Amino acid sequence: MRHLIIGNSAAGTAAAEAIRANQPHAEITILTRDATFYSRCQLHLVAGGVRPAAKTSFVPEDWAQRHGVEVRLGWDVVAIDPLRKEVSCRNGDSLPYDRLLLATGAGSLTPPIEGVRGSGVFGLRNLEDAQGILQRVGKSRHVVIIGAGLVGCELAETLAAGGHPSVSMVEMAPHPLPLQLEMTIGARLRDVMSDHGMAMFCRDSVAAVERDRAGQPRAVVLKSGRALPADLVVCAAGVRANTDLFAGLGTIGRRGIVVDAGGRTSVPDIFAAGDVTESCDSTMGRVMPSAIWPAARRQGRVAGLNMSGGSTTLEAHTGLKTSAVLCGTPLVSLGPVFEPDPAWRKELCEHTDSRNRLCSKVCYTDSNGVLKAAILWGDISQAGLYAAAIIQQLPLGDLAFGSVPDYLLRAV
Amino acid sequence: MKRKIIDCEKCVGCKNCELACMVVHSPDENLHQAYREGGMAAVRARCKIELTSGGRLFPEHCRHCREAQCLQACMSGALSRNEQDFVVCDAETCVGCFMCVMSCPFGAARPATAGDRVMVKCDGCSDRTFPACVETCPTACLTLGEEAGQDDGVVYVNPPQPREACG
Repeated sequence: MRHLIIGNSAAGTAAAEAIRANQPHAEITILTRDATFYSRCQLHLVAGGVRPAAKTSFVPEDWAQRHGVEVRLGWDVVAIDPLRKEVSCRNGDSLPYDRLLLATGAGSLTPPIEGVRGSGVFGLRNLEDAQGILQRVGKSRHVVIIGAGLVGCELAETLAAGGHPSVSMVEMAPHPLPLQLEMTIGARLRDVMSDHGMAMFCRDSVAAVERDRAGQPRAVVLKSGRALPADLVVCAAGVRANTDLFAGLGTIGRRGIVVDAGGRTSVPDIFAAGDVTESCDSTMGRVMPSAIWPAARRQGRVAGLNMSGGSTTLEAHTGLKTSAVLCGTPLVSLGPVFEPDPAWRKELCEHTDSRNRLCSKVCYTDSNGVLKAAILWGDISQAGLYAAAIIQQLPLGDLAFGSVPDYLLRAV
Repeated sequence: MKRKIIDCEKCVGCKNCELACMVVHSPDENLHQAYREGGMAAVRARCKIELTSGGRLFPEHCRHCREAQCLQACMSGALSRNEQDFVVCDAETCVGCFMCVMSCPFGAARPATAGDRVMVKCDGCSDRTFPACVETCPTACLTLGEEAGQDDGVVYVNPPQPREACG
């Protein structure tokens, strides 16, 4: 059997490993536009010059050999023919498949802002973006980051920590990480980031990017009228699933390819996994993309197993799980923090740990005491237990006091 | 393969396992030195004795799960399964994103409290002939043996019963 996988990031590699585990002799080929294996979660480190691109590979050097996978780097698939069951590539070659996996991920969304297209304005989604930023950031005097989501915040923090004198962030919401934090912790993060030298412009958005006569960015004009000097602009204002290959073939939802819990698309023998898909989130009961690494790996694994004769379904699937370390503070956000049900009870507990750090927990519970969402700030060592409680719909119970929760014993 | 067998009935909460774990994971296996230099934060045990809601003791050890969530969550490639079948972390590769921490349903993956920003977890004492916690357990709560039935790298015997009513 011939398996073709498009994409070599989290979902693609997980699928290849799963297929190999099921079928020792199947032919597995990965086609990818990328030139190397690299972890997209580390792009801010590359852009900030903290980690060389070569060190961001998330698989061992002999990965392809070890799993018997043929990897064709720099192969850009341009079309899929589901009737003849083959894909055609930009170089003119076409390859047949028995099972096809689309793990093409997502790309930066460029907001419709005047002057945003052109030199000096970057997204941060590919290695090329990160290397482009790295090349310019040394010479740049003012960096403006549009969007204070996870990508924006991590980049801002890396640049500021690296000594860049002027890093500004523009965010529509009242605080950074609007999808991950609520008001109290969000306002605290905003203040902490300001203290660490980042200029935070919240409740504001970008109206235009002004360019000088050479076409280089000169300033970013905000809706509020303020103009921020800028010679390097990074758009971190969301992503768009790379569904182009699948357009016209099968069902694409509002924000990604529609797949069932087994990773199957609406077209026979075509599977999809990772950021290119949208799927039902177990914590929210709503179809949405799941833009996190662990979810993509799990989706890829399930799709891979099903491509190779298994029948597995993805359970306890959620993309609403974020962990980050910003300005030295670890934080974890779990569940639909950005849209809590009005009936949920919200509790904030705070304590100071042995090293004098402020640790906070925000917990949302429903009327039965079931944990629905949580934010951990400072001490995240029990984050996995909270995440398990949310996904398994279990009560917060003893977690509040630090002793072993009941559900944990059930898993023994 | 011999696996760690944990008989929860036999745990008396002496915490010798935690101490032994701290010792073997201190630089030069010198706990005093590590403590003097970095305080409590510098000596972190990979295992933990917990108290259940029913008032019973529960030794919490990494299970080296067959389908390890920490391993799947790792975006740097630092976590891998070694030849002895233990899930181990390469501190050089770890970037401290802590997605493993939020993904382990048992709380066995944790951030290091001192030194580099990396995660710490049980490494099964891969470089020793015998896991330190098992070696030091005075009540035979922790033993090594061959137990059929469970897939994970750790087998629990006589676990405390979960409370019937929730909430």
